[in-house]
Amino acid sequence: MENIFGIPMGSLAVGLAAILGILMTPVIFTVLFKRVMFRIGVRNIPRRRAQTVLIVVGLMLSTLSISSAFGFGDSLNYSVKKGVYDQLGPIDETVAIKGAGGVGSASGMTPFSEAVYAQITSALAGNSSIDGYIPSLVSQAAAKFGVRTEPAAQIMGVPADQTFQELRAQNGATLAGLRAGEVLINEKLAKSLGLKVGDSVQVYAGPSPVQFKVAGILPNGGLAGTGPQVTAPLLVVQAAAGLEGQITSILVSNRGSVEEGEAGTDAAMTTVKAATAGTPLIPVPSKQDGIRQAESIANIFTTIFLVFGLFSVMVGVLLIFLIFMMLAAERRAEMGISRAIGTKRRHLIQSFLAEGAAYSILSGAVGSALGVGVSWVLISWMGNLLAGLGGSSFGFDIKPRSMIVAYCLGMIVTFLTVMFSSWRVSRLNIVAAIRDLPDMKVRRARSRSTAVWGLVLLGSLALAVIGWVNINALSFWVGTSMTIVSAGMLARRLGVPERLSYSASGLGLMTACLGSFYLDRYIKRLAELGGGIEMFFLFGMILVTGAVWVAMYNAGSLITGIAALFRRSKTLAPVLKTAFAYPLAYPFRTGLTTAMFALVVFSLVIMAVVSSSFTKDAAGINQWAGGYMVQGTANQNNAPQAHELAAKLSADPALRNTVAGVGMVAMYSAEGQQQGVLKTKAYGAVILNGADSYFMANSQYKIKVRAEGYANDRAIWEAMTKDPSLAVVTANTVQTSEAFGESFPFMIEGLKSDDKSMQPVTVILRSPISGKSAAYKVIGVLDTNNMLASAALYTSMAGLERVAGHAVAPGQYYFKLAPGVDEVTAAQAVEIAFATNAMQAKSQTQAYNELNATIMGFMTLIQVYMGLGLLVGIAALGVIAIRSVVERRQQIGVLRAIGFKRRMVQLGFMIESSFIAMMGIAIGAILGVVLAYLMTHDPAFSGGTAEFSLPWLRLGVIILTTYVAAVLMTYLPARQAGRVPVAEALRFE
Amino acid sequence: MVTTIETAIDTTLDVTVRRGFLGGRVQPGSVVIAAEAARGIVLAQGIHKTYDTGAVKTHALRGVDLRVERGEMVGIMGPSGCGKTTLLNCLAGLEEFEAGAVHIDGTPLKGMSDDKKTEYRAKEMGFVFQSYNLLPVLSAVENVELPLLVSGTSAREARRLALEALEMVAMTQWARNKPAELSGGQRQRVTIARALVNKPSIVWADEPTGALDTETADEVMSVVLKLNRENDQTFVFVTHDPRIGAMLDRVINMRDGLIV
Repeated sequence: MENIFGIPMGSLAVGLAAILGILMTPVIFTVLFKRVMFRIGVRNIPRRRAQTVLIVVGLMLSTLSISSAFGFGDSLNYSVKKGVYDQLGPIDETVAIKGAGGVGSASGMTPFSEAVYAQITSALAGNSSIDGYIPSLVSQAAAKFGVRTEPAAQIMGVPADQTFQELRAQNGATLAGLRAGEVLINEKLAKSLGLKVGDSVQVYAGPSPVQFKVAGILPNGGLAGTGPQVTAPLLVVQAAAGLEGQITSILVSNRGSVEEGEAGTDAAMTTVKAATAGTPLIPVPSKQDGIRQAESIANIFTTIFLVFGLFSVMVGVLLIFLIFMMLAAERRAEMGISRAIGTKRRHLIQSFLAEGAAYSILSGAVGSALGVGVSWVLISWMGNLLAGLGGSSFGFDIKPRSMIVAYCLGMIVTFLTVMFSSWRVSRLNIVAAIRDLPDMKVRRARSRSTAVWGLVLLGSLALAVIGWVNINALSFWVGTSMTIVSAGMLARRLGVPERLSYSASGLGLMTACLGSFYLDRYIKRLAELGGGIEMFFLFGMILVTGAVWVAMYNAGSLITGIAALFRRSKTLAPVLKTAFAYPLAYPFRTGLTTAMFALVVFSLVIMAVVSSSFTKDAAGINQWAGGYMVQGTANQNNAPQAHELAAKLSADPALRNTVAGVGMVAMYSAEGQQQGVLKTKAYGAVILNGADSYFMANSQYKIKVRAEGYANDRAIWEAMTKDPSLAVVTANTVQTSEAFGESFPFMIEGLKSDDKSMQPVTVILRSPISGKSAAYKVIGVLDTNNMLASAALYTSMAGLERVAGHAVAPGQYYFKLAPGVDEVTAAQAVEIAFATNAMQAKSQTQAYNELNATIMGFMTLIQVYMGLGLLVGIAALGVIAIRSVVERRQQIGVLRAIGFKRRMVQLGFMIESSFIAMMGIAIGAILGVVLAYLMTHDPAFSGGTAEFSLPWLRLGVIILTTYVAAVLMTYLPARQAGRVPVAEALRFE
Repeated sequence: MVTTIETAIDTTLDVTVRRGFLGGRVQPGSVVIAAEAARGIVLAQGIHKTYDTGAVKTHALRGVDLRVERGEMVGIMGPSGCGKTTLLNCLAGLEEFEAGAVHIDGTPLKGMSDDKKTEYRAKEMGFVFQSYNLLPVLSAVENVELPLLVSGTSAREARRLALEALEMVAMTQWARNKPAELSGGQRQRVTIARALVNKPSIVWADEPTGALDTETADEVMSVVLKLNRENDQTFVFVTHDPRIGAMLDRVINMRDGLIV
């Protein structure tokens, strides 16, 4: 990856290394000049190995999380780029009819006169940045060999004498050497149909099928194509497709190799743009676009993983803090004595920093290395997911620069926490530490902290206001939450009881966060403050902090009730009394561990519920497919017309009682411009679809926003049937508030997909070929959640002709099936019946399920990734349990002396850990479900397409796995506690 | 005399067999020891205890014989490392020993399972330690009621008895305070209340005044002496302090793992 969050990775690596260097200066100073403090610090590491292992495991999670996100991004970038190089080979720019989708979409297949090629070649000739250029014709074409048919094939024609790319088959056959009736095919088609050299293949590319002999099999890629493809001389293909004298694109190659060519794109584009001026053609920097897209995809996924990984990072930060608090508690008396005999505070900090630095360096290295492994797992998983959707193969590639960034970032996060923790633990009262008494509050310190919290309150308030005014979600929410937190802190310092001030703050945090989902319907600015994906993490933090705060100060009442239930049990009554007392007596420690569990469970639960809420049942899928449960595309050069369709449907016994009707849609590459806006924008490419009357009359596609005056969706469809100047747009053509909403060349302003109603919008559409234009009144916006997803307008067939100037052959077919018909069987029957038209038909339930499986797979991938944080939580519980056994050795001895049996001591420890884990799990699960509920009911987030649904099984697995893992982690320390020799424990100091 | 011994034998057999402490089997020789035990509350014979740390073997007790009568206040004194605390731990069933026998109120400790021994401690013994050893997370009254809850007393009754015990040591006022909020003397009073709340037949006290100043130590001891007089409870003290020794009925001196 070249950039992350807009910062070049190279600069980031240098900057972070420099920051880390500065942060490590005190440690280096300690190593060089304060060797005693350094030794005191690091000698603790090998003393308790099990604890050290747990600490390193916990600390490495931050680095692991970051490095795996970068590793995944690098690999994705590499894979997509490789796919681009494989697909395009020497092609750097493509010149085609202006269209919305670029190469490979309809615009790249719209034929134009070969004469235009001749017209522009003179302008390209002799240009130093361009290697060569050739005309090409690409057409969708079904291929048939024996009984096997490949409906998704294409045929490509290039001049036989082209020098772009050597098209030489394994048997030595070349394009130039082909005889009449011979073609080359690629490995993909050969595999699909089982073709060998010398076999005859029937190709349906135009009005009549053509029989070709396979002269050779080309390796996939470049001009030979990455999908199933027949390659032949241009003239042969023109004849086969019935497009004599026409081509679909001009392919341009820049100087340099496949990888190097992209560097000359800007220069080449300037030349080609000048050459195509005044023609209906537009050059597209295909390779550069592909590479930028690779970068963009990698960036999006890295951002997703980094943001979701923030939960693990945060949990890791809490663990570091917790560990240092516990280490400080363990060594409190030792530190007090050290201070008493002359050790300064900074010496304590130095020794803690030395210890922390050693842990950080070790865990950073382990985390980075494991991060590489995790990213490999992630990319392999992603590859398998996308393989089902025909995605390209995924390779693993990780840049050392990314590793440096990940290592430094992880180290900085870890080390900053270590620094803060060291500073905090060094502030001890010497007498209280030596005598093991609680630290006493000093009046002067208290009044100073009151002033500090007062200033924090004001600063936070200012930050919130700035965020509100400038519509900056991060600033507003950080400011708001800090205002609430500091208000609680200040109230406490002003004498308000602890429980009241902190409970009120916690409730305030939760109310602000959850309430915003309700209030944003009434307060416009709040809706505008939706923010990006990072808000998911911030909201999670705010909610969990609030809930843990409330829980910690109110759990006492709850557990008194639970303990009362078992007051008659000889075993449980005393065990519960101690098991509950310890976590409540150490609210900071318990709160941190609870927060860790709550954060992890929250993130997993919300992901599971949101995924489940967007999954549709059969009725939902029917609506998603508009009621057309089998949909097909055909070669536009040989598309079946209405009468042909009707004849085949009635004659074919497999279709006669299967298909109830067929809607047809023709597609045309146009350019659009919105009228009536303050600043009229240039024409932007957009697809104009013309639907026939059957499609209009039977469409169940939901219209999300209707123009005033239309009572329901049917009224819109009927009006469009009658009036060719009316149109609806897809949701992608209007603005979106979603974080990853795409922007297309043609977008309608002043309209959102979640608006309740709209005023008709006038747009002018024109043909890039003929220049013919027509005005359309847009009277509706289609729902986001359907198959008509790309940026396009829909009008009637007659409406389409207003711009095209002639009837356009349909390319898309929407089959309405008779009740009870199996969709997959029907789709197969359609493909067989219309094989000569290269019809590719698909069951929409199957298509939805495949798509959904990929999405769910990706969600699971993220969940597993976020589950890494669970390891930290479990490690934290382990650290606490191990530490508790050591800390309470003498108390265990007393308990055993006064009558606690071994298993009672053991049970006490298990209940104590269970209590913390269950509290964290309950908080995380409840908050996750509540937030997911609000999100699915918030139109700004869900677009009204989600149905709140709880995936009980998945939730059960998350909760049970977390709980069992937590209990298992505590089992060994608890067992150890039960086996503490009584007399020895009583002597323990 | 014969009748008394026979009664003692019957009682001991009843205890050892019916309660199942010996698994229903009467061990050879145990009848004589049991008869002896019936006269005293603590009877120890030939106790040997060795600590083996691998590199070093320390013979802490080298055949200690001891007898404590019911209601007696006995002190065990001696220099550091002479085996005082080890002896107390062995007598209280907190520590295993290699050879010898200990009978408490006629019940032999050797061979008892850990669970049985723990139950026995909960019902019949109280403990006072030098460093108080109160649970810091529980209030004074909660610390005191814990042995009752372990013995199966209902929560309500345990609370009532705990408050009564605290009243005995004049600590009612601080019942809800946590140990960190109490002075050393107050903590030791709470420990005494915890040791006595179960009305044990014997209380083991390991340097109970070791961490207290003279005045507080005297206060604590006066509480203990009063309770001993009123309840006829047996106290076995381990102490360094001759002043404390002087307050007791009898003092046993130890040196190098033996009573001298």
